[in-house]
Amino acid sequence: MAPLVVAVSLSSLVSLAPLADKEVFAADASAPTVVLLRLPSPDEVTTEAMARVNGELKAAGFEVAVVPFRGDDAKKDLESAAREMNAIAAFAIFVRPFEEGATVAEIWVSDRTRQKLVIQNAVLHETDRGRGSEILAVRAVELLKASLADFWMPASAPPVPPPAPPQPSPPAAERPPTRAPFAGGLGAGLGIGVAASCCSVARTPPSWSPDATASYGWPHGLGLRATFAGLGPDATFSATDGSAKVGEQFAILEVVKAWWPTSALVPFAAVGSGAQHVHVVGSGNAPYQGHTLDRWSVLTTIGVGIAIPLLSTVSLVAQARGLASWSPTVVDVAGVEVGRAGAPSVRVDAGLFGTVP
Amino acid sequence: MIPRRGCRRGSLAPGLLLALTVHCGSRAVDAVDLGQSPDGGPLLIWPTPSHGANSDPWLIANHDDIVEMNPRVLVLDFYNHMDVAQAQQRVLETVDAIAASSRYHGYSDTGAFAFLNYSLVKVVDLTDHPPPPNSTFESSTLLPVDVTTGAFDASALFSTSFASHYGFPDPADPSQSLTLCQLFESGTINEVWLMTGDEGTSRRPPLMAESKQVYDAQNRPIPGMFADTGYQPFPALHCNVTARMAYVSPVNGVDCDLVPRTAGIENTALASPPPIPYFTDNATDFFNGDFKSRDGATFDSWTELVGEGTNGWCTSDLAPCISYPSETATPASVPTAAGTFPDGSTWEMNPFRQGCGTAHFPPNSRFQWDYGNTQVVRSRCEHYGLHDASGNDALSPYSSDSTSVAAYTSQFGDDGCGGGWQIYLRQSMPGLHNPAQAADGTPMKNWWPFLFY
Repeated sequence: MAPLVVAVSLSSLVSLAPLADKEVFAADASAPTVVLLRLPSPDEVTTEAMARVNGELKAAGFEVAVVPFRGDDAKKDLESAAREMNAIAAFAIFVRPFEEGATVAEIWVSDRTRQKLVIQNAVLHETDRGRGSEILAVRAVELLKASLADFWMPASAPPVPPPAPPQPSPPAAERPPTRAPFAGGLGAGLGIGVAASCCSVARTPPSWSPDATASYGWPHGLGLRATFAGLGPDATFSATDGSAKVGEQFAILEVVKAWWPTSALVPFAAVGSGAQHVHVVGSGNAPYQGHTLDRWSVLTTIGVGIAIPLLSTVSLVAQARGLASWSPTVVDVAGVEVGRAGAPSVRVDAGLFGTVP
Repeated sequence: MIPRRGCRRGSLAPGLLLALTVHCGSRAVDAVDLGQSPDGGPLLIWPTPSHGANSDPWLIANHDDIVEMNPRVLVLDFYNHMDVAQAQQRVLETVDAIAASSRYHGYSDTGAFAFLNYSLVKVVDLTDHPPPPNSTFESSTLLPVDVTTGAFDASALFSTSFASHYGFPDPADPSQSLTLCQLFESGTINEVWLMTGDEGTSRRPPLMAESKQVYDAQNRPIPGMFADTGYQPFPALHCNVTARMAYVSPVNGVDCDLVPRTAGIENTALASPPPIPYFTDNATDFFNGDFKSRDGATFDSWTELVGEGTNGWCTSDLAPCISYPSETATPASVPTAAGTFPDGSTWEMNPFRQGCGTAHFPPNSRFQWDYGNTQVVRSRCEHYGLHDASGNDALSPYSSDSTSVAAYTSQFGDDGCGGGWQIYLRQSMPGLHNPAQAADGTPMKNWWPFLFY
């Protein structure tokens, strides 16, 4: 299961866990099938009991397939019939004489989900004459209920979505991983990013800041993502006549496209737009005076990244964005450009992203 | 102020369309600037690239918007007993002292900043390499002297023949060098400082000399009219702009460099006819230059009183001529000054609401150069023009051992010139952002720009 866990959401895992035990029957949209093996010339009691069981199974939401018994090997016949019909179980009743006029009925249930065969004997005495089929049917249904408990629905309930038809089980190591799509549904993340201006005339040192993300995505990999970044340390630009501390925050809304969203490595690309806020606090050496200023700009972004599923609903996300604001804010100290905010820059982020179960 | 920047294509790598586009539309924010004047105009630092010469009309027009002055000074080093680095270090000490002294009310306002920050253009090495053997002079053989008297000849500094020493080629004819007047007129320099040594001889230059453009009452320059307003006579010539020269002593402390520089300011204020009428109208009282009209005395200043004597009369504690009888009374009474004339007769000024003082006469001086008197005498130094005592300037105590004066003396030294007083006096002069009122009731102008009018 471990390879699966890292790729899917918790909700998916919760639902997949039992399905995995049933060898992935969930993909089939029809009701689960139970095969009733019909003897070549059944007696009256057996026929009636089989009819009752047939009715109980249908009432419990099962498809019932009645196939003839070939008479070779009961166990082999049950298993092959169930496999051929893609059924979750096969059922048969064999009746033979017992001592002092009694008969014994063997109720066979081949449970494909658990890969086991259950045989239960029921002795029918002379005193049971007239109720033999009823007794057999009750015992058979109890046995079937025990074996098919996961699928058995109350008679009054609507039929459950059928389990997937059984498929030949490949070895566990060869099973294709089943993952929830990356960023499918509601998600949120926290990260940290370092931005470096690529084209600024002035020396603008790299700056870092944390970021927070909220998103909603669809299983096929398309999503919307809102990101806020800021609250990192201010950059300080110094010149002869003073200095300026520059703090930046931005909020952007992006369209995200992830490819192979259920794979172990999920590449994605994003493009978006938002707003950038620049807060400048100047400090002048006399006679120069410092000013405190705020500027807003439209911010555009384009980027690529990769997600690596780590835990059930958590992925490690790394990405690089190109950012450009319209227009960049040039910070002057005494008429000399000392730095820029919003110049074309590259921001590299890393963080954790989780989906909401 | 958010100017949009034009596109500077040359500064970006070709092909970066996005960067180029963004760059072209950038908005500049002035995180630090000089601020704005009360009328919304920009504040300024002088000199500017296009207005750097003394007497530039720009200086007069923008007087009230200037928040810092960086006068360019050329240093002529004739002193053989220091190398250039040592000479420059000594010059910078004087630059620092002048800067400190231009902090308006710096003794009580720790946030006051230096308005006058000299910028050293060059130290011209005019020393002998090596000095001639058996030379008896501290100054070099290049020192221009009168061939007859051997005295320093300041006019020679303005000659074409001496211009080559300065090392400033004439842009119009690079084979020629700019003369000293041309250096002043082009704004290359605003002052020339000399260091010679030989201070007890006639080889020493004037401690401060100035040829100042004269202005009318409306601050308009009177063409071709210049006044000799320095501490000592300027050569018999003038440039087309104000020319200033001053001395830097290689053997005395910076306090003694400040005295002639302040005295030059006093002479500008007290000269008659006034070269800058506005300055005279507002500074005469400060420099105690109006005793006759203000206090009913028969002399206008302490300098004039002392000048009535001979043979060092009233220049030392052996012959004091001034006293302050009111300042020993308890409780304090109306300030009074009294004293004697050289002939022994007495005088009195009562009341005596003195301004501040002069480079030679602190508020409590009993004689000329009385820098060490610890007697507390009241003056208007710290309240000049503030009208903060029932319409009059409040009086505050002064003595040489007051906290601020003693601290400045400790910082800048006292080689007999009263470093503490010199700094205190200059910091008391209405400077940048002073809240004083002028005689006409308008806000008092900063006095420092007048130096370069």
